[in-house]
Amino acid sequence: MTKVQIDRMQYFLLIPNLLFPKAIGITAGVTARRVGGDAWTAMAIGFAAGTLMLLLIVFLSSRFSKLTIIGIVEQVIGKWPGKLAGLMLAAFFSLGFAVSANVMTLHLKEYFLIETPFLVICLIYILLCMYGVILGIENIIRYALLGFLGCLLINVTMIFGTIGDFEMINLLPLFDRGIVDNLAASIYVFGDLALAAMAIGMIFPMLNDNNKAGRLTFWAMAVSAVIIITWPVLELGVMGAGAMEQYVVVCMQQIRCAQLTRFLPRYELIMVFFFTFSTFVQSATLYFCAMYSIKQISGIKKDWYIVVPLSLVLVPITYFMAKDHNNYVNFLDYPWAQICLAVSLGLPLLLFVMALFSGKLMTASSANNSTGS
Amino acid sequence: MEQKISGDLRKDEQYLITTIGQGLDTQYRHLLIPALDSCSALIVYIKGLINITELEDAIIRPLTVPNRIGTEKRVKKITLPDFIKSSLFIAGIKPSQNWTEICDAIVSGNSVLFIDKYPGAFILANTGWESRTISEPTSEVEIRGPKDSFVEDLVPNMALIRRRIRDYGLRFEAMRLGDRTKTDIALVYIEGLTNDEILTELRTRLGKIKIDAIIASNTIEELIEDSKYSIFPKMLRTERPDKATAALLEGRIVLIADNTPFVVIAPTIFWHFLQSPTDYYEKYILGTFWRWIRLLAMFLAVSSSSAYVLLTSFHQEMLPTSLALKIAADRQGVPFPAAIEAFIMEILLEVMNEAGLRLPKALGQTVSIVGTLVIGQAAVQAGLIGPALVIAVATGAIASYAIPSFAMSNTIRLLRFPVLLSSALFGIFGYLGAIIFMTLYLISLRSLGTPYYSPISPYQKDPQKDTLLRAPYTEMKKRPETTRPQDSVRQPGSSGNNN
Repeated sequence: MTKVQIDRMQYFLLIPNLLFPKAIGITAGVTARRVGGDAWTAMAIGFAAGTLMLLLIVFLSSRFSKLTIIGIVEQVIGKWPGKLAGLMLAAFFSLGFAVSANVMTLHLKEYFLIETPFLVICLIYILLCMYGVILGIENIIRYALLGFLGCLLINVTMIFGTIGDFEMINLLPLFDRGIVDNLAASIYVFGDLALAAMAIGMIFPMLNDNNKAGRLTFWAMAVSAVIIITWPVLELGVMGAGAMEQYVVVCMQQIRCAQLTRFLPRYELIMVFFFTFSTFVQSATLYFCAMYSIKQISGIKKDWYIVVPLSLVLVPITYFMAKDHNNYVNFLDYPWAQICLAVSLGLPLLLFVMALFSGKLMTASSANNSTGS
Repeated sequence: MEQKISGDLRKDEQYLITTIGQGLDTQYRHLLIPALDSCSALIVYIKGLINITELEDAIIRPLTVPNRIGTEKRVKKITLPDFIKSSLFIAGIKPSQNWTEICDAIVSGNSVLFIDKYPGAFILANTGWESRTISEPTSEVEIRGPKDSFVEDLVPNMALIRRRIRDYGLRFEAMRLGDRTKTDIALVYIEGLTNDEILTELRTRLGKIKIDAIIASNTIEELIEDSKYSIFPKMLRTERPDKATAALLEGRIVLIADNTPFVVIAPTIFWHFLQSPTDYYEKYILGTFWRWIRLLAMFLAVSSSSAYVLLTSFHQEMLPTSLALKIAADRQGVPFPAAIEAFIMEILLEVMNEAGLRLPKALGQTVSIVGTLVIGQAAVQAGLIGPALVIAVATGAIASYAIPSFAMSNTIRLLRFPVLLSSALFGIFGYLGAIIFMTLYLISLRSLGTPYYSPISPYQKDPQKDTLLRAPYTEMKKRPETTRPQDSVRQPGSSGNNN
């Protein structure tokens, strides 16, 4: 494997960072377009289901504690299916990176740097993430503390800035569109959860102490759910579902509605300052996971040999994905949410069932017990 | 230098003349020792490096006074080294037969005594040169706390530490670095407290140094630090013995180099550069407050002029309307874009800063007046720069001086330029990119293997009491984990008197 090690605290803080940036604005907007005022309940359902899925990944990873999810596929199904899964995950993480990077680039392009060419914004952001990958995943994950603090600060400032305009009536009635529609719309949260789940599948072997990792993951998901669901609740309460549906980056619109005293009537800059740290952690982690997937299937030792060509691929993917923001939103609506659902539920379930029936789940468990893990 | 000491004074003197020369300062003084049947002797020393009074009174007089009753009888019964040791009134007498050791001793400020027909020499430790007396620190001024500072001499510097720590485990490990300068270095640590791995690592790095000259301690610092091309200082320099003492008691290591009034402390984390001894000499709540003020100062030093540029050039709508209109009105007629304006002002400020350091004190005031009036007021009145920019640049400059470490303050001042450039090119994105780049880089750094950004990232709970906070002493029962001390407990069995 690798000598890189992360501690439990870093692991705990990584999870909110992997979910927060896209979920608070873009996912909330996409969900609102489907179920209107039920956006927050649909997202809450998505989080509940996603937590179970993440726990399944953690369970599998704990059983095969020295293996990434690609390694687990190789062990449970076979070498070549493992390579295929690695290739699929490399593509998945690359697209995930572009989705995450465009959360940032769209914030900038649509609200701050309207005249700057979009390609330049993409290029610089990718270079920044590339620098993080070159420094190593350990350093990216260490950044998660700053990202998490940033998330908390945005939440606190946003709540103070908008609570005065909050209208409870906008959230009622609950489940206005019915349970079925809520369930169907909850899959949009998987666009975020799947990225986190698969990234955990890659990073889990680096955890220096995986004792009670399930409990740790559960609480990380609970914290993430609270800080994320706060956004659609307040977005709906302040702007209403109708307004939410009109915007791509809903969180920025929410921040525009906020006013922190007379002297700070607009604080998008402050918001984006706090927000950038967690977005960077999300993007750089996904970039690393894409690189690491390729590394595992190709056997290439030097990261540079992968990072440079991968960057060259990621630039056009990121650029064309969100050059027109309608394309980006449509992509998130279909097929990205469906791909994410399929990958994040399909792969772990398949592995679990196959490992259980082939007896490898028990073998791995006893091997872990015998080595003290 | 493999030739043996012959015992023939002429030959030995000639050898020394060939090796260390016979300049104005190198003295070869011949004597006759009555107690040894008027045997010839030679004392070699370097004028200015030895204590001449001690030489006369404690070495030459006892050897040359003829009427020392009983000495002649005694000398027949005892050996020559014992005779020398019992006759001279100095503490350090070391017989030697090694030319290298003898020559090193002479150039290091010892006297060496040769006696005819004796195939060896005596190194007499009577060093004594003119040196600065211990005075108040000049670069780390504190209102409260001790007023002494390190000087250029190794011995008084060691004494300044020894006076503060009477622990039996305090060690001053001697080494000599620099093939030509042969600079004495003391590696100071507390045995049983300092982590052995860190100590071994430091010894290894010091052992690898191959250089002709160590002029000052910063040379050693540069040669042994991690990430040599990094702009951030990764070892703390101080001229305050109290700071060095506190570091030793946290399990860190201090390096004292002869001829340098600044000692080097390792390992060091980023947050140490924001801490000052005053934090501990005042109430804990004030200490905490000042640390946050310094953190804010660091942020302002990096960001003030960048914030001006990005707000006036890219994101004017983020300013409250009245402020935006005021700045726009003030900038009316200014011929330069905000970014160029900011660069000009920042560079002029650095020029003034540099000039202020180099100028004689009498002229320093002139620079201040010229700087304030000409560059500040006159430039604004002439409409060449906007007044808001002057405020932004001055805020950044003053904020940079609030950082207690001069090395870190310089680094931060230099970092303003890339941050300003990227903000001028890409507004908030450029600024945030530069900040992420810097913090990510800081997180990746290490000082003697210790993560530089710890205990914030990687997070450690207990050291938080003395990082951005300064907890009351009753709460700081353990030493910081960042240095992995062998003995982590500061207050054993303390119940913590909270009254």
